[in-house]
Amino acid sequence: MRKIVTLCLMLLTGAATLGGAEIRTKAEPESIDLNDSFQYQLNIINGKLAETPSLPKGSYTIGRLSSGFQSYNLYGRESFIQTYSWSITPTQGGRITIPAFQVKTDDGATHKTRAVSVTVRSAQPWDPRFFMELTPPKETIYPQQTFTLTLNIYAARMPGRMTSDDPFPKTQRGAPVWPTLTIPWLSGPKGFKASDYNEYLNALKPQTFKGFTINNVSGGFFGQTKAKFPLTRKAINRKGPDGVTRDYLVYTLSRTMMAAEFGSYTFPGVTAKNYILYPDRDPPYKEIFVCTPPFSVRVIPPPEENRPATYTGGIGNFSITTKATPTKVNVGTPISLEIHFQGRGNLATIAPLVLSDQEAFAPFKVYDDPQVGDLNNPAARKKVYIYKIRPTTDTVTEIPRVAFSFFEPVKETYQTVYSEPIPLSVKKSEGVGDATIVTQNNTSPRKKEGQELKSTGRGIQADHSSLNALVSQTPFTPLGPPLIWLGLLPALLYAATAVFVTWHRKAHGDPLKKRAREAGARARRKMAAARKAIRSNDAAACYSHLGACLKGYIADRLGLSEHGVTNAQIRDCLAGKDQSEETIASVLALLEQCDAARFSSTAPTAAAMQQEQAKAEQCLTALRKAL
Amino acid sequence: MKIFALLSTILLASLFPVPISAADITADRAARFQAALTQAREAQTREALEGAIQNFQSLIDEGIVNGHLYYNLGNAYYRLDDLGYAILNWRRAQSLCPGDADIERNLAFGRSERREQFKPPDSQQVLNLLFFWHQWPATTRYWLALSALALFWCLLLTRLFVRKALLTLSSILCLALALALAVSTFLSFHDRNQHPPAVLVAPQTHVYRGNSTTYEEVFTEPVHAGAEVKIIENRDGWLRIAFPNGENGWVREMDPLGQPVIVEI
Repeated sequence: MRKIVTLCLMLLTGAATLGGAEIRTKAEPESIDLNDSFQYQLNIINGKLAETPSLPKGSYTIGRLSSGFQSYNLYGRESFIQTYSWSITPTQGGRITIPAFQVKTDDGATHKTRAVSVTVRSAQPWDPRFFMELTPPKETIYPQQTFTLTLNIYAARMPGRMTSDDPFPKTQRGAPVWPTLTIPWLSGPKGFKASDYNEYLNALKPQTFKGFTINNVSGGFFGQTKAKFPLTRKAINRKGPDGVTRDYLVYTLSRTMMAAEFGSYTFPGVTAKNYILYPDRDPPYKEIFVCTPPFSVRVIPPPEENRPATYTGGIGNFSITTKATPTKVNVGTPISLEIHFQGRGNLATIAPLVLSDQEAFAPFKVYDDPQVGDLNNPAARKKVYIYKIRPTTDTVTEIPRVAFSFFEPVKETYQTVYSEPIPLSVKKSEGVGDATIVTQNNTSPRKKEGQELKSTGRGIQADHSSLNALVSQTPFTPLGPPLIWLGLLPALLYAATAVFVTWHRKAHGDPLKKRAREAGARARRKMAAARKAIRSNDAAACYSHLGACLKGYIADRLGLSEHGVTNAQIRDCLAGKDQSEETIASVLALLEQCDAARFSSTAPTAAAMQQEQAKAEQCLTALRKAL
Repeated sequence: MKIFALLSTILLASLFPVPISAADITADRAARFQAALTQAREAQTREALEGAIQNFQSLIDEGIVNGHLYYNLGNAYYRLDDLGYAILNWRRAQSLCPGDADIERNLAFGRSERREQFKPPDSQQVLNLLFFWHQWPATTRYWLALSALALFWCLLLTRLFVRKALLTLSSILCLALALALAVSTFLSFHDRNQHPPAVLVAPQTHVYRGNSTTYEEVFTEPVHAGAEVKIIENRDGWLRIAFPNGENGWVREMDPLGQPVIVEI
């Protein structure tokens, strides 16, 4: 049936033909009574969830989760559905909504479910002819403390000859129809221990004919019917909840529990529903649905007030015995002292006693780190701690009694019990001081000369006494100055240097540019040589240097060959550089004069050479600005 | 230009970090510190040691975070035979003062005194051998990674001017070293954030397969104080913890008396 429904769902939605996953939610049934459960189902069509989803919390308790996976082949196309199903029990009446929540499918996509609502029928607190009373425990109790929850069900007696009958209707075949009880905590709620549920129900002597149905427990040989529990009943006369005094039959159900774990717990109310007989009514019965109010219990630790020093967490009722071997020893000989705890309570969580704190053990060196004995079996209600002790003096005659305190939850007080002392015979040790034996485990032989000293490996280093210990330190963080200095700065430095080196190589690698950059220096050198030639009155050298100075400068700056350059080339190049005709003409005139003067038969005067040199400097200045 | 100014400011600020203020040392604190030291050194009774612990703890509670203070507190707990809290405080001291010889010595000594020694599984031992540097302290790996990275950039810088095959090979080796150490350090920090380390401080702790006492116990005996574990999950007052030997289980966060069973480092 479920498969057919799922198949129809897939056909209707067309999910099988689509590529992506589809999320569907539903609740069944959509209307329930208080204390009943419904199934909340989450279907993932053509997809899988990445992880098991968890439902959002609300005014309901989330029960067991079950999951399943089904695949189908429809006309050659494979489809599959992943299903998660929870059993949900509302904790209050009215409209209960399970809100939308997000789930993640294994393909990484996030989907949002649809909110689902269920209508929960609320129960009446009472009916004048039928009501229930529950005796709750104290609001705060201690672990291991037992309490009994007593449920009294009051049903008004019928008048006349039916007065001794149970006031519940019968079917046409004469089968009695008693109310159905839902008692959520009857099986023992979380945090509490109770006797075995099935044994408890069997003790109520279930029948197949008449009685209350409790929590839909099955009965009969094959479990084909509901078990019926005829609870103990008695007749009383009392005021009903409406203030009218009536004769009632009282049915009583009790359940004893014991607190096991600390915490706050809420016990839901008990509901009863079905029909009761109603006199003066047609038909002579009435449907009822009543509920007791919920109640809360807090399980708290034992009080700190008056807590003995020998209390180590025991809650219950215990006795203590001790056993020691050997009992004839020398001073310092280790003795194995077994302490046995027996009784009812939290044996598993009883911590070891600190024997060295017990005054009676002052003549002993006690190692307060006992081993747990093999008898540490909670089922045997026994726990053993094995201590090592050493007598420090030969005046000791017995291993003293051991004190052990526990919290007695029934009396709500601490109790201290003692073990019996164990007679002990202690002799003085020979040769070595008693204190040495007790305080020093290994007595080293006298050191030979030249023998290497070995570290004992014992003990801890001294305290740090500097007041620097009061200066707050900054906890280590990887994103600090070291990352900047060692991680980022070298990288930046490298990048900056690399950029500079690249630019530098590009700028200084071209020989033409280098020649152009050095043109001025070369021109100055030639001009200096010309001045020197003037001073030595060497006209040929002077004009040669002046010509070479100007021609060389122009050739260097314009990237021309110095020796092959002609005046025509110089004119074209200078004209191409937008030089004025005047500059070009003066440069060319000077160059021609220099050529002519070099080969002239008459030697020019020094004044004429200086005049030409001054002109050459003017031209050079003009060319520097221009080129 | 503004970006340049900002970067310069950050670099200068990191070059001259603000010195740790000594304003934390008040006369009252100094007196209590000295009193705690004297109490711890000359204690003859548990009450005296508890007084010293209280004094050290009160200084820590006032917001002083100092490795040596935790170290002293650990020493006091050790003298009180409380190995769980001793190891816890030494571990805290170690995280604040990595490489401090006294802290390392006491921690190693405390570990040697533990009742249970959890041996890592064989597969883990092989991994430890292969990736031996992962066992070094995280701060050491961090510094080494940064140093290797800085050296890598310096070698590259030198290579701009001197082209030698040895320089290229050295820079590649430095980069590989920096990457290996950086990945290892990152994994350590990530693991610490995801699974914070903790120490069992209860004298005896029962470890269960699930988050309830109804589950089977993981070990045949309860685990004693001082076991160093990692916290994997927290659920309703129960913690799922991983032991160094690969086992994991659930323990209560608090014992029935409201005392902590396990404390995060």
